[in-house]
Amino acid sequence: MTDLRRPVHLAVLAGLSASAYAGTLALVAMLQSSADAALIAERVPIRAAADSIAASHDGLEAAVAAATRRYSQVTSRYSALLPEIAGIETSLDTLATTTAGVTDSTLTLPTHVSLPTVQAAPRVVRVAAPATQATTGASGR
Amino acid sequence: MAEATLHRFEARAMGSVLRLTVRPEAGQDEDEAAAAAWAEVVDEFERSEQQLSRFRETSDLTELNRAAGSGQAVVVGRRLERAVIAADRARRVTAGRFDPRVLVDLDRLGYRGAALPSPAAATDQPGAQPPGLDNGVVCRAAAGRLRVDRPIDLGGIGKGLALRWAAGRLDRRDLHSYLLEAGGDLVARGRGPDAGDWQVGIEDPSGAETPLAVIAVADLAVTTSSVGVHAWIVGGRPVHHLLDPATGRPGGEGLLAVTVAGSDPAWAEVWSKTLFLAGRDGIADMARARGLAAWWIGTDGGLEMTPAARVRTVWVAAED
Repeated sequence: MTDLRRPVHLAVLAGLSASAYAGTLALVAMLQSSADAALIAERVPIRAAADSIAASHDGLEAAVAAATRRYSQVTSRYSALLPEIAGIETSLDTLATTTAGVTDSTLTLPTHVSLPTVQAAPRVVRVAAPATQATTGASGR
Repeated sequence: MAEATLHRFEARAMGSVLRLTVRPEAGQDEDEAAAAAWAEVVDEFERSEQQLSRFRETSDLTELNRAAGSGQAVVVGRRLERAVIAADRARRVTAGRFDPRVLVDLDRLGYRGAALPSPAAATDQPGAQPPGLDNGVVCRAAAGRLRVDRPIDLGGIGKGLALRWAAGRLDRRDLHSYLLEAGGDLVARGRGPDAGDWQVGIEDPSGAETPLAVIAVADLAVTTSSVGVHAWIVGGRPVHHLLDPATGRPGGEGLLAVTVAGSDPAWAEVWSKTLFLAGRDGIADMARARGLAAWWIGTDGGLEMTPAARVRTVWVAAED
């Protein structure tokens, strides 16, 4: 005689499997969520530091830009002064030439000059000391 | 309105002649103003001598010197405190060429003042400095209290300071024309006779009556360091009172006297002594480097001077 019972146990087995799967999935999802939260928490100071570095970089960039502008200005002024500097250098060259000429001339001068012999001593006129109100000298008199 | 006449007073102070020639200002009672000025000068010199003299048994300086080396701080008057600080500064400015710590050597050579405890004077070598003193002449234990490790002599700078303080008191009495002299050092203010500069003779150290030169001064101090008076014989050798702190022996080789003109009598005194100790070979360079108006007389009797002194010189004795 053929057993006509319905395979209920298969359905139950399938249900239990599905439940186990769902539970496992939920547990994995919970663990994943927890790990993500921890990771996010760890990344907060790094993100803050990155923001700070980005801000500093912006400031540095602005400073470099300002320095570049000033450098350009100074370069422009220096360029404007170049003709004057060239003129001064020309004057210095002229002065150096003149100085060299003076130096050459001094080399031709005698090292000493003989004075003529004095024939008679000049007449010395003695003048009396003017009147004084005090005398400075040794203390203790 | 006729110009006030010159009033002249004279006395002795600090072992020297103290003299004041003063012309009271217009509007002042002449006799009263002149007498009051003289009273100020006498009072200032008496107070200064009572604090600064090493010859007075009861002076503050004698008491301080007697405590030298004991580590004991002594209560002193304001004048002595200021004088010691000024002397210490002079020592530093002159790189030690001026140093008041020569009293032991002066005593040893016989130029004695009030008696001091004998051990230090008897055992010290000439010019020897006790250890640990290079940082200064004195220690200020507190305001008005001083401690010295070695006896000090404030003779020259003390007289210069007394002149400075006395002149200050005359200035505060609205006196603007006077000549204040103390033993060869002087302060000249304003105009002298006939509305001209005060004329001051530079003494001939040989004792001749005629000065070696005459200089014109106004609003200046003039001081002289000379061996014309304080010179004597020790062990058959001539010595004098201007000691070189480096050696503890008489210095100024080749010189008889040095005169310096400057704005302040105490500093003029410091420089006249310092230049003297530089000797004949070193005085010209030192005086010119400092821009000082200085005259010096060598042992041969010759007078020399710096360019700054030349412009103040109105007459020089003709050489024979």
